[in-house]
Amino acid sequence: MLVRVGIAEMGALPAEREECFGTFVALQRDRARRLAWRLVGGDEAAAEDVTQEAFVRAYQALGRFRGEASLETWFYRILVRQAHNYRRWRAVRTLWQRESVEEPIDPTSAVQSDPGLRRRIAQALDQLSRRQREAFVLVYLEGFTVQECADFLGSPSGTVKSHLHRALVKMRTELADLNDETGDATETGGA
Amino acid sequence: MPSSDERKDLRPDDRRFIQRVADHYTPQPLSAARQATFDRRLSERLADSARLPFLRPAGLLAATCAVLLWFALPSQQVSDPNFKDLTPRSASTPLAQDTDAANTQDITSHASLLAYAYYQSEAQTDFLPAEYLALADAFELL
Repeated sequence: MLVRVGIAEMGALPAEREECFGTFVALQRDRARRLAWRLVGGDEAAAEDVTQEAFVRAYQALGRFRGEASLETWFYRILVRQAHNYRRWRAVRTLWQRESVEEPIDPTSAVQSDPGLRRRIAQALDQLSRRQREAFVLVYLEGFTVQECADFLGSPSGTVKSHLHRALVKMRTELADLNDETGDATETGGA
Repeated sequence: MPSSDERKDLRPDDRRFIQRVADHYTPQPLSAARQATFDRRLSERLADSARLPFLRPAGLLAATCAVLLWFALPSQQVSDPNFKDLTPRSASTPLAQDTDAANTQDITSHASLLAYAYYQSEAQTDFLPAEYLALADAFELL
């Protein structure tokens, strides 16, 4: 669940707001970075850049923040959009430079697990539509509620649930070996 | 790992699958040193954004001008009568200039017609360079 920081806690004076924004960054930094890492496909440098850019944009627009939504909802909306912009830019760059479509995943950036499996999970997420991927990561991997996810994406809850269902079916099909609890998923990964 | 209410509504095998994906697909936590680096870079970016706010509209204006110039220049070269003066066969009399202008319009319109006929008759996708097609495909996919 979100750690709520409302407009009232942000303070009226610019100095108070800045101080509260610093607290907000400290509270959300790790989660925001992890969410960005998952949305951009496991690229550590890109995830940090996307996270920082989202914080900067939120900071720049702080004066226009009126508190209709919580600060977290507002910030994560920016972050998800930033991650999408990065993916779009990377797709264009990849096609332009005729590079391999496979984005190298930094082996040191993830927790101790098989790099091949991580790459396969990233590729399976790539197969999803934008909204399916965002809903899957936000709700199932990051633990946001459907309503929070709907607020981030600007979609009705029913639509988010539909995306979740389809995303789960596709992911289970793509990563069928992970369905089997006793199966050794890492061996079938293939780098 | 946070657990949303939605996960509890899932079947046990779905829940186990998602848990496995989440376990394998997660970044390493930031070390203290990298956390400090992250915070320092963020502070620098925040300071830069606060220090030079007037550069943003100026940059946007410059980018808009550049785009407009980019699209305006080729059409200006074709339609501007002075453009012909740069060519070796410069005309001296006003009558000749008018004739040249008319000829240029004819050539331009013929070229447009030919291009349009080619566009209609040939495969339309072949009309664009491969790079543009690749970009168009990319945006279709996203």
